[in-house]
Amino acid sequence: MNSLVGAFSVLAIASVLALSGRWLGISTDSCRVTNPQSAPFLGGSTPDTHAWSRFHIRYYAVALLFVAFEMEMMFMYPWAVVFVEEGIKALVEMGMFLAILSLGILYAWKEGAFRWQ
Amino acid sequence: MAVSLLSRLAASTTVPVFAVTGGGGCPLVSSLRTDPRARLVASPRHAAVLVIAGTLPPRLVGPVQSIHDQMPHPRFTALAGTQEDPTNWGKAVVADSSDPIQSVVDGFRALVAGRHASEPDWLPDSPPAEWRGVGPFGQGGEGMMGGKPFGRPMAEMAPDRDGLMLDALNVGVGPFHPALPPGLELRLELHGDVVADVGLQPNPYLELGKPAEKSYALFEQAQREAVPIARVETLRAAHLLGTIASAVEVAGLESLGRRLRTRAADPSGGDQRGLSRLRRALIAGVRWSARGVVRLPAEELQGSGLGPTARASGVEEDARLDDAGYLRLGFAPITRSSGDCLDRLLQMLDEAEQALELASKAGTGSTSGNVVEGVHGVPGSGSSPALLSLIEEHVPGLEWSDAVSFIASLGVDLQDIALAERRVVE
Amino acid sequence: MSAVASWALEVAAVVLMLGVGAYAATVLESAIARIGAGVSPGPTLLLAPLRKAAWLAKQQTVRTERPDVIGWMVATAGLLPLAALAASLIPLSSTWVMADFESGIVLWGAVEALIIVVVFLRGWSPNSTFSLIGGYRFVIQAFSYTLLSMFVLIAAALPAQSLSIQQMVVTQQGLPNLVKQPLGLPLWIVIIVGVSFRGPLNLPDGRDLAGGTSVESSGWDRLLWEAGRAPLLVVFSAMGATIFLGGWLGPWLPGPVWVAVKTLVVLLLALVVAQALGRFRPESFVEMAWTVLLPVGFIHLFQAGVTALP
Repeated sequence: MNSLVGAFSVLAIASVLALSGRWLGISTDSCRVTNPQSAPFLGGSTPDTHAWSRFHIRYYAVALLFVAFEMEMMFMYPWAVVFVEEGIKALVEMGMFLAILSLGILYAWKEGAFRWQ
Repeated sequence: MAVSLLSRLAASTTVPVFAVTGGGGCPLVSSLRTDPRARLVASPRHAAVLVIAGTLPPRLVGPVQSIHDQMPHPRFTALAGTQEDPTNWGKAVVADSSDPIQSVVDGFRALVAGRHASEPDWLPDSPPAEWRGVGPFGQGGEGMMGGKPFGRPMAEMAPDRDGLMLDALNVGVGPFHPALPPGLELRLELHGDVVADVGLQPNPYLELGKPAEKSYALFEQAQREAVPIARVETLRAAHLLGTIASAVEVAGLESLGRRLRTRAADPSGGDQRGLSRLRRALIAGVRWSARGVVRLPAEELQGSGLGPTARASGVEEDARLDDAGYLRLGFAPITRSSGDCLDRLLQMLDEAEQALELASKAGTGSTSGNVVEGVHGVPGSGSSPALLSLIEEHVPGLEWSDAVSFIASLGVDLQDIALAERRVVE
Repeated sequence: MSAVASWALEVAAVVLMLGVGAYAATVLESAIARIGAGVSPGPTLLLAPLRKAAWLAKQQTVRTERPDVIGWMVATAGLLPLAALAASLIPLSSTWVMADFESGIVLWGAVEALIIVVVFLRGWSPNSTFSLIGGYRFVIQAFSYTLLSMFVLIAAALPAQSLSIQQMVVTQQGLPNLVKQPLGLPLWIVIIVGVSFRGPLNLPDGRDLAGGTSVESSGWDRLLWEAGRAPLLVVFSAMGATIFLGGWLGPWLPGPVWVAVKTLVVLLLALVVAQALGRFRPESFVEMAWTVLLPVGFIHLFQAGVTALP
């Protein structure tokens, strides 16, 4: 059977199920959400402002590092397929590649990218 | 048919409870944690029953009302151990004092079966800001940027640690945040998930006339007269185990918390091996979340009388050293050195173990009747409010989960602190 | 057998794997929690998830003051389809695999990436402080384990000389990857716990955030979220069983039974680890993932590579 049809049919069936469940949740509710009910929960306090904001993401440096490694994954997929054919040469090449990226990690570590307090 | 089956299944689930603690409510909330019929949930959105345990001081009434209204329907309120007029709380059920949890369960079953109507809001259904006729939400502007959509302004910008201008979230957290001690209300300035600034609201339990917590009475009594050491120390062990239980529950270790609470309910019931198993599970469980978090330097705690918190940093102070009754038993305080969150929890476990040992050795021996080491140090010396100033001092700069574990490791009990403060006033 | 009938059979298998698997996982999880608490599990646990689900189905679904309604709905409903898509990639026997792609692990990686989007969106949508923090936290948690999972998957692809998951199973004939690549399964356990955010890696939905991305969630919304989280646990355990324990390979019993048994073993391992450890500090997990686990991942890849060479 066609794999693509299989994967997408499963995805579609599950999506329809989940979305209809979510819709059912809204449509079967007999009570309206009132103003005091819709206040965000903060342990009893009411918020001064909306939560949506320019959020201080402390890990942005790590996120950049992640992007660098994800690019490297692109090269690893074809590399994995030909690895056994190419033998030790492929191993050394990938070793060099990873070593360079590891220097990046070491540098980020030294700069304190993994701490955000 | 299908609907009634659904109702029957739903009614037989363990009752999801959000509990708020008033004066004298701690024992009930603690028993809710171990009772198989109910489960305490972290948010009112997950709850069907609001349990008001004990008498609420006036300051806490507003927050409790808003928590009540945040609960989804169907919902109801159960009052347990309160001295108040239940008619102030709408159609709230007054729980049977002999088995309050069973009343909660029965109420829940009746609610799901439709025999009880769901409770309406307690607060008026008015928007936090008036309809101003402009914009999609009547906020007086366009989109999210103009005016006050839904009555809340957008966050204001503040300079970030990295020299950027980003939004600072000013929020009040508590008094009934599931990871903070009951009654503790913080005003936070959050930069992302890091606390930039913290302010503490006044202790609400100070408003209560008389301490309702019976278990504290013994410590209070020990300030005036000689009491059996065995009783004081067993109570201490129970308190310390309960405090560790709250801290590990905050770290997500519900099962370990339950084991600790079972032991706290009967501290001298198990054997020594049980305690060492608890210690191993504690170290394995919280090592990653507590080690190295907020090391309190010994100098800062010298003379503070903060009991286990100070001793975890290596301050060898203990009021029991001035008590002839304890010295006869060969009492020597235990200390640790690093003073981080892990050390504070282990210190409490060590002291619980020591307390049980003292209790078994004491026989009929009594304290000498002038002063005895309390749960957080010496009651009456004004020491306990110092615990709160530690929060104000050390929480800024912490990531929120560290702030939470730090506060949990201090074993803050605002009812106990209110008791100590009231003694100072007297 | 007609194409439609075999398609229906395969869909049924995926539904069974997700439904029964997720239910069993939920029961097991609470049984392990009970044992950890020193209480005997008892037969009432068998119906407990059903009862809780029935209760959630009856509860009102609330929303907050100014939520992103569409985002919220998509996020909550998004976890289950992603788990289902991942489940369709798991081979159940030599011929029985719903989606046998030549590049199966690439699609697997895509599912992992979309999980990040879904959890973040769910944290962001309610416009609530703790939920928002939970969403942002999950992003860095996922950034930290995703690389690890990619290294583990690539390492499993080396002896197979293919990105097809079926091929990875076939090449374990004789010796499973558990022996050939001993570091893989422990690393994969971290990924299972992280991706279904449980125990030590429940950073987005932890108690310190009063439920995090679930803080404002009730009724059907919460039911669907849990109904997506539990299958994720099962599907990732099944993948662990497939790439390290040889999936459907095994004597006497039919393939799907072997997959179920091996999945159960991996699932139990993950649940026991999740049960014993308290929630990590976000910062220390990130630091550990990048400075300890990732280098271990490199060593794992190197070791797997050397072993794979003829």
